[in-house]
Amino acid sequence: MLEQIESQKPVMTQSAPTKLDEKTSRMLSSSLISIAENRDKTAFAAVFQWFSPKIIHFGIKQFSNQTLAQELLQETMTKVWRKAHLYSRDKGAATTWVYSIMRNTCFDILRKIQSNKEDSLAEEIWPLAEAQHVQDEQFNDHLMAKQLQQHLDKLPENQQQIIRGVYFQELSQEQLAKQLGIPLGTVKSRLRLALSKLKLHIGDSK
Amino acid sequence: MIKHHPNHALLSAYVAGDLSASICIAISAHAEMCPECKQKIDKLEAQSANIVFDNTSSHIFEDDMAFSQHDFDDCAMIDFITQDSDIDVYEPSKQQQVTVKNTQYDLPRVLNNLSFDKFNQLGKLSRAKINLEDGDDHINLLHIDKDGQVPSHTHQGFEITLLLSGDFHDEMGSYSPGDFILLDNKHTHNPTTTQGCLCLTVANSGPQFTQGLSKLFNPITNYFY
Repeated sequence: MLEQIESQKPVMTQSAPTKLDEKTSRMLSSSLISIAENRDKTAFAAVFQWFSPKIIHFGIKQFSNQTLAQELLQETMTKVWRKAHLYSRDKGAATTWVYSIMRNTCFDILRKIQSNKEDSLAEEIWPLAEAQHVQDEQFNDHLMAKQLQQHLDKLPENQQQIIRGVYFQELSQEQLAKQLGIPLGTVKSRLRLALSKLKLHIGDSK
Repeated sequence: MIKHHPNHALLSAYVAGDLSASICIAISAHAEMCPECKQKIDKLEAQSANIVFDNTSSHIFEDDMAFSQHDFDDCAMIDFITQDSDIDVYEPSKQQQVTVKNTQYDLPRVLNNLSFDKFNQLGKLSRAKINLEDGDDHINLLHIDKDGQVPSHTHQGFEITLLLSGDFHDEMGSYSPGDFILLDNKHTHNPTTTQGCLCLTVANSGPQFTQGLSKLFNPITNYFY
């Protein structure tokens, strides 16, 4: 009984860190994904506003200097904006990902102050993208990725399926036909249709 | 089997970014070889993130904001950052190899973009300095050829040895690839290898040789670190 009552009280502790509530944590990670996929400025502003006082606070503790704390904020958030495509939910919480970026940035700033070195060593030590993810990220990293993704989304689902299978999972058309349980001829015609539509869309936007 | 790991305090400091670049590199290289420590590091990172980004404690930041004109700066900074919609393209770097005494070794990923000097040889010992300006901490690749040894020595500061390949043993035990050994001036040891080995070493002072003729090296001990 007592436990039940205890657990209904709002948690008001000041010192012990509490886990982020589900809602905030979901908001942060879907914002990161939206930044990556749509270069979504509103999502970025939300992420920025949530993190910025915390990063400033951390920076002041690290450097005892307001200007450097601002520099930490700006560099960290610039990386969040430019590297959001390297984040994925299976890498864990958005906060953990932003923490590693902030720690790396902080490490490089300190190294610049102490050894006068601008070698961005932190990303060698704590890489944001790991070698085993290279394959997944090839598509994400391509300059055309965002544009292609948008056009791909406009295709009917059954055509998207074929494009993803052939180009992103590198399945043969035969394998794909087997996997989807449809005749090979259907795979071929859907692929032809999808490609000609993509060509048209991409041609349009230029 | 890896038996020697960085302790909890060292891993926590690593996650916080509170160690020198050289020590961080050694721990990062160990974590590449040791899934157990990799997992601990991931967990510590999540914990640190929870502490730093604690949702409930935002009221303590009022002090910081009082002198930072926060809201105004935020909007300007957001606009500044997002005006460029380019992304940072991730380019995987290439693993480096070294060949010492006709044996080729793959180097840890963390060294991919670092350069190192040619190997200097002294008897069965070869050493290549990794180019990194890092205060007193020096980081090296150290190769000991078959049946070779480093004469019994101690350090004024600390010495980290990460065994990358091969084997060696000393007074305290025998080691296999991935083992991370941290010693200080309380330890004296005499590493000896049978098949030959390649190590990554970090130290903040040269070794002090403690026995026989090798003591003659003490005046030029900087050669070794």
